[in-house]
Amino acid sequence: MANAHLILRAGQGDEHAWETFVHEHQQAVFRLAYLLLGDASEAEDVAQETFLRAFRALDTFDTTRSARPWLLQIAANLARNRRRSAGRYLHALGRLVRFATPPAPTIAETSAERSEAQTLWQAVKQLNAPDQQIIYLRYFLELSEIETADTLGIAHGTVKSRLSRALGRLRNVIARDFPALREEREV
Amino acid sequence: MNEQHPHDLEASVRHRAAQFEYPPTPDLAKALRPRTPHTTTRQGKPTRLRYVLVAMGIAVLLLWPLAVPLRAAVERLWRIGAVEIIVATPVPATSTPAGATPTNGSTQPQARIEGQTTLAEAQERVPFEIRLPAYPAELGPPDQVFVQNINDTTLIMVWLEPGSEQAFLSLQVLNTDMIARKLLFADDQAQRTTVNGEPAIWIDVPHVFEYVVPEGQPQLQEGRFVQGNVLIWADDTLTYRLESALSLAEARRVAESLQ
Repeated sequence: MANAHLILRAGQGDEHAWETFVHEHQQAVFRLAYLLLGDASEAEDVAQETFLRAFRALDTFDTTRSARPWLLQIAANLARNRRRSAGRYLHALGRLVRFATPPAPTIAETSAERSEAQTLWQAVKQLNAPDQQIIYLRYFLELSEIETADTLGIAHGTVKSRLSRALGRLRNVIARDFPALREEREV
Repeated sequence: MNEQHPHDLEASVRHRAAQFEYPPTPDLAKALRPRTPHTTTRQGKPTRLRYVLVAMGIAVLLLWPLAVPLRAAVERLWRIGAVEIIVATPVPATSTPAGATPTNGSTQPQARIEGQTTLAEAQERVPFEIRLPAYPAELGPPDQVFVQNINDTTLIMVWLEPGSEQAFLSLQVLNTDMIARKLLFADDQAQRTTVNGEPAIWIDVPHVFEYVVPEGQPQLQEGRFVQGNVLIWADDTLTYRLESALSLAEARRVAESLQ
């Protein structure tokens, strides 16, 4: 199994295997951290810390498992801890002062679709952490149901129902605060 | 009548999420080398140092159930008002641990904190005038107030993050008749500073915080594992403990704004 072999060699100090391993998963890890934290520099820190922790645990990792859900789980936990600590004061100050650099993503929105995607993200961020996470994993990162379940540490069969509930709560948020996202059809 | 069909919503979310534009993914592989002794993070802090800090935090957390109650070899003892800062080497005790439970975030109020009350009622109960931070200007009164039944003189005020149940600032006020302890594992973990020109201590590494009950025997049932930043200062009669994620400069501004 290529994945197992790569992890084994990376754990033994093979730099090439380690770089390959990181390259394979860094985008997903970084993107999840970015979705959860909303800041690229914080996301980079979390992603880096994720791989540091993963490296320390490579010796004990079950190589029959897929590494990506494991890495994403680490990243999500780190992001959650970071949300509880440094940087959150800035959100409180956001009520009071305007920052010179807007805290929102700085990517220029050159198309209506990208604008709608950003608006969707703002809507998802109104949900609780578990709802956010399952939506990010399944729809933003496009993980399979099995990978989503493994990342969240839940039974495979419960992903659909959890997603359904999360989408229901998202629908309420959209109806209340983001009417531009509503897609209506006549019944 | 218009409605959003569930499948339409899912399809819409899936489509829009696929259009989401992310910042460029940094090349982490170059920054992370197995067994590389020094690698800098984005902020320029050595990764090795972060390893050490994380390891210390984890070590304290792992030692917690073994070391309670602690019998520490005291190497150095500082005191600010009612708070003792002990730098010690913990020695695991053989007795059964007390009921202390570490928390993962210092700025989270524990669900089991007793004595929740209102600011007005707290003012009637504590034997000192309650002063509130005037900085930031719109901080306002605390969202949660507790008067703990430890000599009835511990006041805890918590300010929550907007729209959230998570705390970002808590201010404890201790009467100097009682003692609280902070346990550190190296004397460079506490930084001497000042508040209003008076001595103060700044701690921004994980540590153990406990109250000492009146009999003088440390009981870690009230102990907490603190991960946030803490500024401790005192005036003639009261000791203040500001727990947050703020920098030292910001914490001092809050501390010096009490009125």
